[in-house]
Amino acid sequence: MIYRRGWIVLLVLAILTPLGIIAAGGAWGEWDLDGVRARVGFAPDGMRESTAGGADRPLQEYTVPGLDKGFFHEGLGTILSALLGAGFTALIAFALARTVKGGGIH
Amino acid sequence: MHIPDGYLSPRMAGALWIASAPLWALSLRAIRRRLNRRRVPLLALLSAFSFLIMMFNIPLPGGTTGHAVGAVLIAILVGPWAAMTAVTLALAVQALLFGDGGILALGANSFNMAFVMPFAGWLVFRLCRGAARPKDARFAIAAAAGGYVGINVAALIVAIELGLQPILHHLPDGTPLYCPFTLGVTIPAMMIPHLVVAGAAEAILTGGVAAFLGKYHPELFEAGQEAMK
Repeated sequence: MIYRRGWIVLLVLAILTPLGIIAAGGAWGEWDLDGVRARVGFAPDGMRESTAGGADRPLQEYTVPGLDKGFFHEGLGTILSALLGAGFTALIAFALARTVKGGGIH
Repeated sequence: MHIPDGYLSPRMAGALWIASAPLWALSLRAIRRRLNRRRVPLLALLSAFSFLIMMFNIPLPGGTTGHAVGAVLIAILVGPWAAMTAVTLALAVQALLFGDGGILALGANSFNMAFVMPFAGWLVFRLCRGAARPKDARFAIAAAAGGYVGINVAALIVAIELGLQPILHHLPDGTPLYCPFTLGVTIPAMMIPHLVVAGAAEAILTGGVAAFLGKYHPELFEAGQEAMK
């Protein structure tokens, strides 16, 4: 496989991702409705309407359903999320770039 | 920096989808015309790299967290247009699978992190680089400067998009309908942590990887130089 060392670096990064969730607090301006309510005292109408019915995504916040008991489980869920997400991203990028260059994805 | 759904009005979120659409088309055209076929796996690798690096949250002043994006490094390696597709796909997977960034807001997030950031950073890199070769110290310093400026310009655009909401969209009595924070709040809240910490992280990442690759794999930077000719 070409760029073999690059893919190994990515694998190491994926295994290290639990380090990335240690930092306390979320990103500024990415709070859910409760978070906004806690900061400004109310949840704006438009914000409530446009997030209503917005179901959680399959691996919401980089967690794997069922893997939520304790630090070890959470770390494992984060690594699995990283591997799945990075793998999926690479596959789509590869397929898309091959397709636009012509000659199919093989 | 991933704007969730509900913070931007549907109108602004839609406008930024519409603004991003022709840019994606140009990005795919650049990949078709200018990216060497043998470098398609590199583009896939860099797209996954961007996905992963955004998972490393670092504590920021003010009690929040932030992360590097990698968009400027990708622009230096494969050109800013190809970088747009690489980062957009990482953002799309983050939004669709992991709920990181909204789906209505994906146009905005792509505009900010996959378009503004790689182009702003790449331009600074080009200006600072001069005639330096990949193994020169100046090359890595130019890359670091590009990373620093790129993430900060993107953060400023995010702050402006958010801070315009209460001005553009409010009830007759002034109650905001979407993001409730004004520019006077969003700009310092986004910029101080990015200028001080996240920008430094992006600079170290971009400059560090550019220095390493410039020394051991200088051939990797050839496509980045050809990408805008």
